[in-house]
Amino acid sequence: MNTIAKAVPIPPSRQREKPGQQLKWIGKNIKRIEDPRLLTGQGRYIDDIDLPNMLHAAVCAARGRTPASSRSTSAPRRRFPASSRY
Amino acid sequence: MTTQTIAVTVNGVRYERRVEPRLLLSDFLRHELSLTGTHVGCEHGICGACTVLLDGLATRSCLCLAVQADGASVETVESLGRVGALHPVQQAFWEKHGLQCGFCTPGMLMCAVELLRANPNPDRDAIVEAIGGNLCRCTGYQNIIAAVERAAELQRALPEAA
Repeated sequence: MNTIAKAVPIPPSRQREKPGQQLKWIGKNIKRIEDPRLLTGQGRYIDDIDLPNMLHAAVCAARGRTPASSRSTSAPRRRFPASSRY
Repeated sequence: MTTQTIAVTVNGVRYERRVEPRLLLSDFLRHELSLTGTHVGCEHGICGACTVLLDGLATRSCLCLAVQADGASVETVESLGRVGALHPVQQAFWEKHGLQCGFCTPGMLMCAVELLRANPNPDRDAIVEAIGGNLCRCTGYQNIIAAVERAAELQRALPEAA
């Protein structure tokens, strides 16, 4: 071991400047560009989207026993007339 | 369904509409007036996202019927500032990272506005109390408290309080 360490000396560092000298944003707080939009109520969340003829849907869990998959297609469909309104 | 005519002043504009008595104030603002800045989170008064100022008082618009606001004045987040001309409270939230997703922000802003009108120099406890009814799942509240402190500072620096 000692002979190898002596044979291959560690070269001096070639670094000439401190890291990050040219990087002016590291460590600084940056204001987000999307914030003014979100702060003024201009954000578009999913409930804000209103498309032409858009309908609202509701998923209804089966009551009682879960219907067998082979029978579910023949089961009478319940109609929800209100679903087309709201 | 019977309807009732109401007249509500929203952000300084008078609106007259025929509404069902069951219509929530939050739905009135969002669906009838297309003011979608007011967000509906839980729809039962837990989250505070829908907070508006009703005759100057912070109110859950999801626990209030539109007909109850008949003759009243409503202020929403849209009344504060615009992109490029932010209200001091909005500016402070921007500077202090008081929001991430921004969903709770309209309610937080309206609560902050109500607080700063009554108390231009609130201490930390007063701020925590004022936003205590509003849930935020992103920030952990620390930046919101810092933002309201900063907003108070900004408003005091103005020649006249907003």
